Amino acid sequence: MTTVELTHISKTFGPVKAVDDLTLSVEKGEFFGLLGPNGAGKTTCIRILLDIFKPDSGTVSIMGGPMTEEKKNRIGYMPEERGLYQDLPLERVLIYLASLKGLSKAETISRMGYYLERFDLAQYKKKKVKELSKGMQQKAQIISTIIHQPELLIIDEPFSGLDPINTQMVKDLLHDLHRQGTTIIMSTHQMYQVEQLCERILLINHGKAVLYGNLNDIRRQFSGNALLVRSPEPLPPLPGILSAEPVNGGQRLNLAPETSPQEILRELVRQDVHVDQFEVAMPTLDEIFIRVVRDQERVADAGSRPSDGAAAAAETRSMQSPS
Amino acid sequence: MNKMWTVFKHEYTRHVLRKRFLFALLSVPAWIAVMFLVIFISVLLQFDNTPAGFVDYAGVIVERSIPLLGDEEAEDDLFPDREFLPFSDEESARAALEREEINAYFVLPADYRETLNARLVYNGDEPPSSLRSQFSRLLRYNLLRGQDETVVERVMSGPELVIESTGEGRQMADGEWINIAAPIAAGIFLIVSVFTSSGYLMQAVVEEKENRTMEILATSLSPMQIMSGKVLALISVGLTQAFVWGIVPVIGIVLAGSAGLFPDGMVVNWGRIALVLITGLPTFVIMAAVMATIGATITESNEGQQVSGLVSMIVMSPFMLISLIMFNPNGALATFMSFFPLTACLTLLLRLAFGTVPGWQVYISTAILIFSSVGSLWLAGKVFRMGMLNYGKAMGWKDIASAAFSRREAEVRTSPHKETAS
Repeated sequence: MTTVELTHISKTFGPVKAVDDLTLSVEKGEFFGLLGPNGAGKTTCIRILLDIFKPDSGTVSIMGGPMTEEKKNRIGYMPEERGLYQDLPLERVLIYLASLKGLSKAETISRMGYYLERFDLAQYKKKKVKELSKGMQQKAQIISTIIHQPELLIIDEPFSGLDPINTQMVKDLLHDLHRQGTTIIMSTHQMYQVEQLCERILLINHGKAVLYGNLNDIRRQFSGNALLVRSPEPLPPLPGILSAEPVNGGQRLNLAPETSPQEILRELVRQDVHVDQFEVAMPTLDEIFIRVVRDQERVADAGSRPSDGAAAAAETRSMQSPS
Repeated sequence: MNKMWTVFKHEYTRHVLRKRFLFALLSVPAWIAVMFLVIFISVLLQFDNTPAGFVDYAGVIVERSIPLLGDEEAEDDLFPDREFLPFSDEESARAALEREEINAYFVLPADYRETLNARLVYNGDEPPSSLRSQFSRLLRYNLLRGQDETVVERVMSGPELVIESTGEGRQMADGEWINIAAPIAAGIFLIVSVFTSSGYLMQAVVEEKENRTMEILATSLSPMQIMSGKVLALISVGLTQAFVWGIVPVIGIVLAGSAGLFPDGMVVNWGRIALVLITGLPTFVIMAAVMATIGATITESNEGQQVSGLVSMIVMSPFMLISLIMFNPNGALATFMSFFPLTACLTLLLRLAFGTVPGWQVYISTAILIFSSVGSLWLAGKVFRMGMLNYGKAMGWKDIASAAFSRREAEVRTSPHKETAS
């Protein structure tokens, strides 16, 4: 079942086209990553799906139809810039925000106790929000987002301002929620976070979809023909290798087009080379993003030169677009 | 529970429990109470009940105290009338004066009935004027002895003066001064309540924008629910303030009246109180909507002070033009201001204080106020939705007009802030 479906939505603010013909769908129970650099249009996209903004064109379906007041109770949203009442005690803020999601005071207090303990905030519940550290406020914001146990969780840059321990704490929480069946849409520009958490992604730039689909499929698609091999000893000369470059204590081996990873593995075994790590070298999302954006720029440049148009189009065929 | 009421409850308790609100709320009645106390203590300290004497060679004074006349009520014992002691001759009276048994004595010569001349003798400081008025009253009562009881009551109580203007058909009796003072006081209370509480609302909206709580609210309930909850809370905060500020003077007046500090004849004009409520509540709503709109359209609280200052000036203008309203309560300016939503309430109250207002004007003015309050809420709701997430740049008049009159649902058209477009 599709929880969120945006179809060809566009949104313009004055001269700025914040979202340009974007299409995406998020299935129930999915952990979806909305990626892109700062200013790419992620937050506008989220605000459109949350019915804060109306799109200039296109349709939005959330939980099977347009947004309703009842559906708002089933959604948890954590904006990029945190929004808690600074001059009120933490406990009161959480109770109020939960009550706006339809949760009773008794139920809120019961759940709040669990989450405050889990996030080491129990002793600060009587403190005013402004008296808490940035990291504590961030955790409090996360609690306010999930305390009503939303079916759909939309989180914008959830790890900003968190130290590694708290980052892991939040990741564990997101994993738990995902296991419990919560549909999660995470918007971030930190692509490595997405690699660890998300199943499918939409990568946008300048409001347009750049990449869309299963994360592993995308990485495989952009992996090229290369291996990552780590060995305690220098690698011997191997056939079918075009070049080798050191990567994180190992070697990235760029293979000739006709050479397969299995052939290299057989050769290493035959030569009795001690191997600590052997894997197909997958590009990071950062690398994929940079590559795709550069390709787009080249297409744009080529588009201005008519004779190069066909070649440019051929170059971008590898880009999987949702629309 | 409807989410609007959740917002209402949150906003109300949040503002009412603020230290500065409580301070403002309690400081006014405390100040009034202190003033009453100071006046009371000073009266008490100055009160001199030492008996006075009289030497009556004319044989006028037979009764040394005046009985209760007609519907007069007994004075309490806090400030009892002084006693007048008779002396057979001036020598004994002077001796009593020197022994400080009395603080003064009057001498009525034998030909008093013909000359009406009397003497007052005192030692040291001049006795208070109340001594003379009390003795005059005693004298008058004794001179009337033997007259018809009704005549005695009439003469003793003095005339009930009714001031009447031929031009306006307006009349005002003694003791009706409260009908001038009350609208002015109600107007001042109303204005201060509206300004302080709507100031809180504007501040709260700006804060919610500044700390981005507005985004959470926007994804939890509709802009109209947010707006309505806030405006209702504001009105309740203002009414709380007006109630506390109003009830203390009322208690003070009742206490003062029972202590005999106020003259009889004060009449509570319920029609006027109803008018204060009927015109005051829509004014509250209009101001609340205006302030919420200002809060939604600006990005920092200090920006709002200039605009809200301008609105405040307009609302206060009837007080600034009070002399014009006082001398010509049915003039063109006063009539126009009665029909202008931001000035209608105060202008009507002031016009009623200084003259009469045709009934149709009161009805039209009330209707304008009620329609304006509904309209301002509608406008505020639309602008609120447009402006609540507009962080980067304050909205201009064009944006506000666009929000109000665009057929499409209002949305941000101003240059987006980086988050808006990110």
